[in-house]
Amino acid sequence: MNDPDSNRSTPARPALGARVLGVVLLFFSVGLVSCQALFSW
Amino acid sequence: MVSSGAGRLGELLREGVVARETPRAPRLRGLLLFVLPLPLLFGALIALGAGRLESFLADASGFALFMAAAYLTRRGIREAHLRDRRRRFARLPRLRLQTLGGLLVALATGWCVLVSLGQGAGLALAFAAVALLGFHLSYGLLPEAPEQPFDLSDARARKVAAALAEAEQKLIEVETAAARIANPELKARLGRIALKGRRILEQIAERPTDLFRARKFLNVYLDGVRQVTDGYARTHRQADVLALEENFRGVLVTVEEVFDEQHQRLLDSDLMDLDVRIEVLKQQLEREGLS
Repeated sequence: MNDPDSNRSTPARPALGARVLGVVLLFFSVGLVSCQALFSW
Repeated sequence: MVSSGAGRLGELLREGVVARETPRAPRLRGLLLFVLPLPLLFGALIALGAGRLESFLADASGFALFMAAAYLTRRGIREAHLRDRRRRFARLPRLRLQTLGGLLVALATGWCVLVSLGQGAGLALAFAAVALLGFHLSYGLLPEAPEQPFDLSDARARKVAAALAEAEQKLIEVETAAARIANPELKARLGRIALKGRRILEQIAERPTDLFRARKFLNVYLDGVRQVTDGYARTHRQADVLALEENFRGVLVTVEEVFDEQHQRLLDSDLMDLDVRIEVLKQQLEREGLS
C-alpha cells in the first residue's frame, strides 16, 4: 500500500538528519547567545 | 492546454483527498524558538531588578525580536498545514510567514551579539548566519515551488484557476466560521455544504467549460453562504438564539439543496455534451461512408 504522504504535491519536511543538525545549530547560536547575555554582566 | 491541465488537476485532486484524510496537526513544531531565548527574559528581569536600564533594554529588545520570530514561524507552519489539508486552488500570499520568521531569528541573534554581548559586527554576522542555517535546516526557509494545478500559459485556464481560487477561499472562510459555531447540527450542515461546494469546484476543474454554467453558484450562492455564516458565527452568542438558529437552519437547508442541484446540473450537462459529441461523430462517419 502506498504511503499517503508520498502522494503529496508539496515537498516533504527536511530529512531527520538535517533537522537534528538544524536544532544543534539553533542551540549553538540562539541558545548560546541568550545564555551569554544572561551571564554577561 | 486546458484539458491537459485538467487531467493533471484530476490527479492532484485525488491526491488531495488522500492528503485531507490524514491531517497531522504540527503541535510542537516551532516551540523550540520560544524556549531557546528564555535566558534573555531572565537576563532582562535581573537587569531591571539591578537598576541597569541599558542591559534591560538590550535583553528585552532581543527577547521581543525572538518572540516575534517564533510567533511568525508557528503561524507559518500552521498555515502550511492548512494549505495541505484544504487548499487545492487558492494561493497563499507570496511572502511566507516562516521565511520572515527565519530572517527575524537571524536578525535577533545578530542584534543580541551586538547589543547584549557588546561584540563586533563580524561576530554578530557569523552568529546570525549560523542561526539562519539552523532555522533553514529545521523548518525550511526558502519558498516551496508553487503548486500549479493548471497549465497557466493559457488565458482561459488562468481565468478558470482564478475563479476556482476565489471560490475555494470563500469555502475556507465558511469552514473557518463554522468552527466558531457551537451547535453541532449546524456545524455538520456547514461541513456538508463545504464538501458539496468543493465537489462542484472539482467538477469545474475537471471540465473548465462548466465555469460558465456555474457562474451563478460561484458569484451569488458562495458569497451568500459566506456572509450569512460569518454573520451568524459572530452574533449567535449574543442575540435571540432560537429564532436566529431556526432562520439560519432554513437558509442552510436551502443552500444544501441548491448545491446538490448545481452538482446534478453540471453532471447532466456533461452527459448532454457527450450525447451531442457522439451524434456529431456518427453523422461524420455516415457522411464519409464509414457506417
